[in-house]
Amino acid sequence: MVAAVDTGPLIDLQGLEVRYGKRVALDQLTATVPGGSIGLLGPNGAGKSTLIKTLLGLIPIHGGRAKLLGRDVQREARVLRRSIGYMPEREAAFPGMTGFQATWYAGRLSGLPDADARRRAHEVLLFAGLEEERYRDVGTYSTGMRQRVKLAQALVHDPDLIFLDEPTNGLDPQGRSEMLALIGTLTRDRGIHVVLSTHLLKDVEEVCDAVVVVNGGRIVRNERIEELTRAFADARWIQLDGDMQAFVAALGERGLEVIERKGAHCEVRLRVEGETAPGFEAAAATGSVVRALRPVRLSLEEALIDVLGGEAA
Amino acid sequence: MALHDRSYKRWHGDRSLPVTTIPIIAAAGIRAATTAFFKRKIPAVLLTLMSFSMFLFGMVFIFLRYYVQTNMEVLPEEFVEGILGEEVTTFTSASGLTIFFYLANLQVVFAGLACLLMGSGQIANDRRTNALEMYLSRPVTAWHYVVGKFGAVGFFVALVTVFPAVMLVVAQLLVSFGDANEVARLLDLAWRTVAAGAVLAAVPTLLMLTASSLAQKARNAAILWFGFLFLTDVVIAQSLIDAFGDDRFLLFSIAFNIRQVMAWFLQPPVEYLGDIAPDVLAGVPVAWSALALGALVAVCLVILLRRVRPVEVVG
Repeated sequence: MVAAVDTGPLIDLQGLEVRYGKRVALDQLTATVPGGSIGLLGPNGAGKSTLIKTLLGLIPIHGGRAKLLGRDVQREARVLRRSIGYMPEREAAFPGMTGFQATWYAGRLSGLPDADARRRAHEVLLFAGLEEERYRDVGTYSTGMRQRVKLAQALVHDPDLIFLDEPTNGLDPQGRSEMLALIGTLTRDRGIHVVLSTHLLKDVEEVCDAVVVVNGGRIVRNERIEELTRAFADARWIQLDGDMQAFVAALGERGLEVIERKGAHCEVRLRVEGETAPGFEAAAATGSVVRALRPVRLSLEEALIDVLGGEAA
Repeated sequence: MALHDRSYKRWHGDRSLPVTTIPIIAAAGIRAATTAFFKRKIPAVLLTLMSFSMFLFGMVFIFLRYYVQTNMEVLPEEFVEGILGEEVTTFTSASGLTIFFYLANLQVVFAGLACLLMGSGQIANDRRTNALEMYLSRPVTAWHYVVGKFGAVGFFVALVTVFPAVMLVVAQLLVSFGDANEVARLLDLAWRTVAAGAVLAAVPTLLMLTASSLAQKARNAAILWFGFLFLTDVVIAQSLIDAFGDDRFLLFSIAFNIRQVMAWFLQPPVEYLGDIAPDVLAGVPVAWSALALGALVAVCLVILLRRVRPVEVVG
């Protein structure tokens, strides 16, 4: 495993404000996001793509400042873009070029010398899984191949950070799985920071360590996934071997609340955080055995609904 | 077993080297337009030959005259008279008049065709395929992009205008050594040819790029470009002149303004100019034409820089 490039915080936002005309798209964002693989989440129109495009220097900033890899995104945009890869959400291709030509051209535009751009274009196209197809016109590619060539173009100049906007859009399950594996390789084995914007929470769970949740142009959560999904510090999930009904009754006698019960599993709220002894006593009293006991975690989807629901309220 | 190593490899090159994206964009534009043009081989070859036919004729005649001048004693008198006769010489030696006639009357058609065929898709196709987002998320600014595309289209227009015109002057120069006055005259003509050719190449090119930035299909950009030239030249300028009888309305004609500025650079003799470009003798000061072209260029640049954006911002 290779450590990600250390440049301090990956993203540093101080009162960042972006407007489209009179409409505020990003509202006074202040956040420090460490490196690694970050999932950018939020409902449609929350400001995810606007945030990515602002960080790429494609959209002007109306207030505050934003730094990426320690550099100001407006004043040092050209320098910064040599270290950043971007895979846009919508279809985007240099017209009339083959996969190889388009990737080589992307490398040249990013500052690679001609020979390096050619070698890198072949390397990243092979990495992305386009072998013979690299000599075909991109216009004849399937959706999956277009996503792959976009990934290759984003990687050709070997960026330190790559923005992926809905990279699994339109892919079949196998294609999606392969794309996530490629992204996982980049972040886990090659130390490239990844910012993954997607609606598919499974993708984020599979690839990312942390999430930034955007809603209504504001960042409402910026934390590691395990922190976001650790919903109840005082709750435990129990797998029981024995009479569940009697066990539940015994828990009640000891002042423990059963939150949810499903077959041989139940979720129990403890009286005091960390005090699990009454649970074992209840099992012993009913002649049951506790096979497993662990903290209750929400799925990312439940956590996100919780976060966004709370925001809406 | 995979034939190739498919793992991701890091690049260890130097990121601090300067990025020169303009020639890269221009070269890609030239390559893309050439590939598209030669998809239909026979018309493409015929059109290419036609666009250089007068240039080839001029070259042959310059060297033929040189041959006749140096071998007068051994050649038949009628032949010598035919090649060196005053009427022929006026239009076939490199002079301000012949260069003006060559550029403004003969090659202007091919300059227009080069704009239409090579320039109409340059930005329109990029807009249609969302390539602008790919360009501008790299170390490429809108200026780099526009200048690169201008270089691509300008290359083709210059190829059928400035390049052959300058080569005619150079050919004349080659056969004029030994005559200091003639060499001095031709060197003066050379820069005037470049300047006049640059006006002829630059203005329609910029106009075509602007039309291309306003469309998402090459065909629509071509219609827009041609329509704008037709509208300004025939509909507006000519109608106003007919209605008010005032030649100053020629200022609305882009073609007139270009010819007027080219004539100022090349200074063709007035007695011949009336035969080949009577409109240039109209009572419109050349400075006004230059200003009109400057204003057009400024408007084109403003439109281009507004259209070349990675994100369509709706207020």
